[in-house]
Amino acid sequence: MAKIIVKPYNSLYDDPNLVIRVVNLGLNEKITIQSCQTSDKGREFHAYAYYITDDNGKVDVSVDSSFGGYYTGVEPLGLLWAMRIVPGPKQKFSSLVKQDATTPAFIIYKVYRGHIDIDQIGSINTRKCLMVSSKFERKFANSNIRRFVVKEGDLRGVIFVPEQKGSFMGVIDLGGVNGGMVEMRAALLSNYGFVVLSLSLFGAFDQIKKVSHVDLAYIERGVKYLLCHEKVFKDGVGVLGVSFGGSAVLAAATFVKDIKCVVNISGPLSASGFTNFKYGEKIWMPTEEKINGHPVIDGIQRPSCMIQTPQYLKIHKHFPEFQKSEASILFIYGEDDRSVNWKEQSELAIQLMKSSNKTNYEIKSYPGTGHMIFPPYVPMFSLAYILPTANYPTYLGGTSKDHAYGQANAWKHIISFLKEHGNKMRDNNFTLESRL
Amino acid sequence: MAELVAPLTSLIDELVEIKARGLKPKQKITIQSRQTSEKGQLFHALAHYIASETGLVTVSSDESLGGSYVGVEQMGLFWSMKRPSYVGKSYGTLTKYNLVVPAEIQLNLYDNFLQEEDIWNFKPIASLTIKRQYICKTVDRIQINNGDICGTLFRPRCTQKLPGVLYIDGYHGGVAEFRASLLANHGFVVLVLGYFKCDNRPDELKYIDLDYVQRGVNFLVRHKNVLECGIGVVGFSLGGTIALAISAFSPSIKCVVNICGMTYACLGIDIHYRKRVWKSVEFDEQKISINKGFQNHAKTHTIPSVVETEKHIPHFFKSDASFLFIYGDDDGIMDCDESMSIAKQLFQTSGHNSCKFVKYTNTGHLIWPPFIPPIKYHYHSKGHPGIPTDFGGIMKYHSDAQEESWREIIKFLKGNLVFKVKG
Repeated sequence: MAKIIVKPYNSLYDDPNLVIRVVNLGLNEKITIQSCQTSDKGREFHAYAYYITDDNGKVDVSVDSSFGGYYTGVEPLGLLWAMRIVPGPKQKFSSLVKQDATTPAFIIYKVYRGHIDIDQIGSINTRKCLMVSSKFERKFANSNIRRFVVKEGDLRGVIFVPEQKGSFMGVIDLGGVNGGMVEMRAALLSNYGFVVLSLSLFGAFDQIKKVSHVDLAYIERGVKYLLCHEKVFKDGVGVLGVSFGGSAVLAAATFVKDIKCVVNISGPLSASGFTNFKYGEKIWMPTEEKINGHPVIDGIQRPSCMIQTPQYLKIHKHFPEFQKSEASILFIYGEDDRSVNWKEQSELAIQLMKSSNKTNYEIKSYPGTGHMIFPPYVPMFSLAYILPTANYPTYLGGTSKDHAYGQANAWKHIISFLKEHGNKMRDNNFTLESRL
Repeated sequence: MAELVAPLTSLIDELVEIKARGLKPKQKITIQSRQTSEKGQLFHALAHYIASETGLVTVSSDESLGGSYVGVEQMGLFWSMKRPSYVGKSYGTLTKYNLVVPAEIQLNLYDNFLQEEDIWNFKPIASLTIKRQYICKTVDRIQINNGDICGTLFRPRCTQKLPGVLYIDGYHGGVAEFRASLLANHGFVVLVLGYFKCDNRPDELKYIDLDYVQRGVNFLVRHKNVLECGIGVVGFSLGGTIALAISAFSPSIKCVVNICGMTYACLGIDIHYRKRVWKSVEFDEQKISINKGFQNHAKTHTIPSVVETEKHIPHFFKSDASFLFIYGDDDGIMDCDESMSIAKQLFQTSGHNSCKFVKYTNTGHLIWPPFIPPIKYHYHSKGHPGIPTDFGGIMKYHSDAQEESWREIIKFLKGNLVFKVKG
């Protein structure tokens, strides 16, 4: 009986060492391996690839070459990152970013006889070729990670805490312009030895659904909360965010001295999403953002850039003086970002940092990678309806394989950047302790 | 049921896996590849394999026991293609000029070890046609014809600016796009500049019009999709010589790749720039020898001394650009060692140390992109019409050189032209 072996059977979502093997098949047979996952909203996603079994009736996806389907060649994790929404009459796009990080995602792998174009034939006709089907887990947090809901003052979020003895660097993972949290990213981060507070700006729990401005003091309160946690190093915290969240954490670092390191993923140097930043009496406003009127091809709007980069002389209207903060900064950009012009933004950032003699920053860019940079192997999320008034779904950039590699490489850089700071804190505290 | 399996589409410089399955255990088979050139000439290759106990052949890991190549050669069925022996003396090339239509390769599977001469008498037990593209789906091909510049622009669809590369081909004229389009797939905006036998350019190449090439450089540098960090120039054969020449006058040229180009004006064709002239070294067609029915051009040029060379080529060795020289030691039409040695000495005297010389063993003049069958005999525009010229090279070595030099070139361009952000 054909059998699908996945090791580890309940791997972490970002684990690059996933091995997918199919055994006990006919010898030198043509097979199609399909991966299926259902999103939180009930949308079906899948990928499939064509293989030929070896002399022992086995296929090992990590070393064998795919002859077609959603990718060709040797792609050990192609069945994950190449997933797209199953063609059908429903909405053409959705996201596989799971909200609840406490439960694993389930992937069903199916093996069919022959090289079949599943999208063409349709699921009813593929059933007769199905040889075996098995469900596997992909989890976000190891068993030693505890999740707690945070409702302290006006702070709303969840916190992931490693159970083992000792202290860790605290990291705030900030949600984006649509509100809520990206719990799965926070959970995945915590596995590397951080206490991660996934903070929602608005729209989660009892928070209001939409805001017209984000008070950076909210992030400051989040930092204070995190520093008070018994398992967090008191030296300071790291902050991370994507897009609007990235801009917000970078802006907050201007005023919050306890922010020691910042990861800004795809965030422009301005307020954006028709939402202002605020701190005390100061207000920073978005630059011009064009969400309609771009060329539409096949019912999808394809901008080259939506958010205007602020001018150097006018940046004080749009963004606080982050360059005066002492925090280390890691800028992460996709080179195919259609929302922000990453080159202009990074050149502006360099200019500003040079003017303050700030040198502790790094800018990393990834070819073929779009705006929405998620953890590794999360299928590329490149289409979105831009609220409040976009008439068509908008393409945000990225080409499948390049974007997948970009996400994987960005994650490595982010982890290594945060770990470097975490280790420094560990060393400081170790020395401190040994002196007592 | 025996069958061949391979990816149905791929890029010309991409590796592909080919398998034969459904065979009998230990069955002897022949896999043949067939491709027809644009001029209607058939090329083919064949290889002998023995199936496994379960009737499988995997080209990327099994050994070919005979035919056009032996040993483990994943792409052997592509690069070892030749004209069939039955056509007698017939020379052509599988390089393509119409890139919009992909190359089509038919793979045939035969029972038994068949020889090249009699494979035509047998029917294949399985067949598969695959396509190999020159242009990626995400690259636009734009013909440039603005009354001055004649060429083609290959522009990857990207909202950001990309590094620009000017490509100049050799002495056959027209606009030779195939190498340029493959380069563009790797993330460059590439302008192929035609300099004669196209549009409003002269039909005959009386001299190298470096002012025109300069305008080509300016066109690319100013193009809205091209990164401002400077451009690269890649030239093949006479185009390589032109690439060296123009680098002397253009500070926006950051790096130069010279593939088999002489390091001084040659073929009796002078170089002109702003009323200055660099004369070609002496080129005597009478010194073309005929060897076994092929022309040999090796002794046609009088090699200058190092000091004299400055009269025959603009001072590329004084420019700030980085240089990469790619050439073979079996080049049938130019004395590479001498030519390159002169360039090395010129660089040395100028204190210029950003130059790399890569020589490939048993490799001839016509260094194409990877997996395109190497050509040894070809028609040269100079010399005796109707008699092909020996351009040199031993197939397997030359093919390896095509693969390795391609990697070198892309690495060199990326290393010198990428948007460097300080961090």
